[in-house]
Amino acid sequence: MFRPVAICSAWADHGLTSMATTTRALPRSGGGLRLNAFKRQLSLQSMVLPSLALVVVFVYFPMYGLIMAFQDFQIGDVPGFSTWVGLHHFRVLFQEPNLYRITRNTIAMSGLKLLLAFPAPIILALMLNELPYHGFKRVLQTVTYMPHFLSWVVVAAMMFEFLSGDSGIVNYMLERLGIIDTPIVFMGEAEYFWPLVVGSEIWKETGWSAIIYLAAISGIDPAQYEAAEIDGANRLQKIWHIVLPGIMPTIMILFILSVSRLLDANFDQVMMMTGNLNNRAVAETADVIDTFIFSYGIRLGRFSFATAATFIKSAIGATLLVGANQMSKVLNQESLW
Amino acid sequence: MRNSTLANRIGTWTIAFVVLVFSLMCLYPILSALAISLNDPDDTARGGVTIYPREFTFTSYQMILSDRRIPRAMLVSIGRTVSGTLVSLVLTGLFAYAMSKRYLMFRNAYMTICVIAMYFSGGLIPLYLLIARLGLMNNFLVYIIPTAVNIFNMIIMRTFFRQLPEALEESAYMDGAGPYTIFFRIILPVSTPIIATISLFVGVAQWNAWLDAALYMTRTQDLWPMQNILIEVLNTASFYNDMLASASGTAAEVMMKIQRVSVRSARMAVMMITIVPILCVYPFMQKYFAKGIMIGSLKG
Repeated sequence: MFRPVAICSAWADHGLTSMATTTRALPRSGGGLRLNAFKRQLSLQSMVLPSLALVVVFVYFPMYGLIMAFQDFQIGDVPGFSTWVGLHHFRVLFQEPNLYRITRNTIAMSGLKLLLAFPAPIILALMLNELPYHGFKRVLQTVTYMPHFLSWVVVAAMMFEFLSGDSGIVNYMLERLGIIDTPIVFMGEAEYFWPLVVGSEIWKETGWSAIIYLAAISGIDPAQYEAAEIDGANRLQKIWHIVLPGIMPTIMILFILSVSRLLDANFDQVMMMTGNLNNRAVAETADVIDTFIFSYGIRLGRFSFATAATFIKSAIGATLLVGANQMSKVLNQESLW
Repeated sequence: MRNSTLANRIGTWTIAFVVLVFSLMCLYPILSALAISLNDPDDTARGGVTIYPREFTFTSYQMILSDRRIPRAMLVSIGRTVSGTLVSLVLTGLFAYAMSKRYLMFRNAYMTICVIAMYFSGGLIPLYLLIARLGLMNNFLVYIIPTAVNIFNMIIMRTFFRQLPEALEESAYMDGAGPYTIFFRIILPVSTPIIATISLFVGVAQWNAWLDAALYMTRTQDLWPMQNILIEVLNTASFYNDMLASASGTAAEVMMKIQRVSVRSARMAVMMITIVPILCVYPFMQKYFAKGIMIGSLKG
């Protein structure tokens, strides 16, 4: 009964492997053979080409466009064919009086997020893992990652509403409880900007990021827990000696990626929390590298100058990625490559 | 958890309590926004509305829905989400399927191109100039084409397709079916979890996007999605509330202030309309995307 199936599959296997061998053997054979092999899988190749074309156009063309950082790009120029100005824009950039402030703000926000928002989902995942009731756990999880699906536009809208100095609920409660006498204009004062950035990030992303850690926890071999229990390990010891080491590779990968994004203060978040940068009252602590690039490039039309800033930022980002990855390797931990 | 000593049980309850408090903190703003949107606008100005409307009314919703920009923006949002998700699914899916075949020629070259594109980009300015040059300004297609292929999603899908048993395709392959037929007739029907996951990712990104409209829809607001309308509603006549609140002023100024405060319910109503579609969809996708994320977290 099942012989035909076996024959079929053997035949198909043969077909597939032979095709694979041809492909692998190709570099040694002539160009004609290679072309023939390509023609044979033309319809498969045609599945790749539209997507690849889009990637080339919308990712690689802009990468090539970075060349304008070394040129004086004017509207109407063909990118890459403007007048060369060498490092002029970089010199102007390093003399920019706001450079220190935007760099400080960017690193402060990313650093605080790394310190406070990065561990939050790990802690949440560890806690959820300790809860025995499945239904209860699932409901809590559904609620905690709901904010991830809201846009920063929406989150900022809520922040302006609840933190409003004009009878927003937070001020209302604080006044009722006698903690403050006059309302605090949370969204309008520079000193509250960083705490609010970190706080809203924790609120929005903790539940979502916990999913990946929970997935990693579920991959831990149950035999390890049993062995620990026989050894008389208590809950904290099990978390420390089994769960944490079990999810360490995941933590390291995500940590490397976070470090490489140190110069990416969340653009959407900052734009929305400053009302599209219109709220200058918080500019002192709110202006970051990405909003600087946006203001100069899009609003003021200084394309080449803004691109020079992008160039520097990407270069540092790439260095950070390689550096963090290398460090993780040295520490004998997981690495991206 | 099986050896429930007293210390263990206290620990569990403490943890349950902490997680519960955090969940309530996640839930509260949404409930409160709903309550404010359903509360009488003038009453809202008095402050102190928590999670239930003090004076229930649909006034705010009637007010905002009578503005013809809002239903229009809703259509744009729905249109870009549906068409953007479909286009992205088909393109990325075909790409991922081809890439899952080890005998695909130039597979490694394609992958290198993709990985570089995943980590590096030209940034905002060159992309902006490119889109202007391609004539995509003030064109609905700008919502769909530049983001149609997402490399990360492609890798997730490819990983999923790879783990499907090869036997699945063999008989169709025997019958002389081409890769397109196999993809649409055989692969897609057994790929529900990954399709659901990717649709959710792409759909949410489409629904929540605002920067593309802000950058590229310069001539007219007719093609603005809900997010940009919400930004507009937040900014007009309301943004400087806070500054007014802290400053005392003339009677005229105070009058103006009260007028502005009354739009608070309306703002929350616009916000609720913006998030309701997402809140309705995501809980049903839960069982899929946890799995999807797990696949995505695997290396390679």
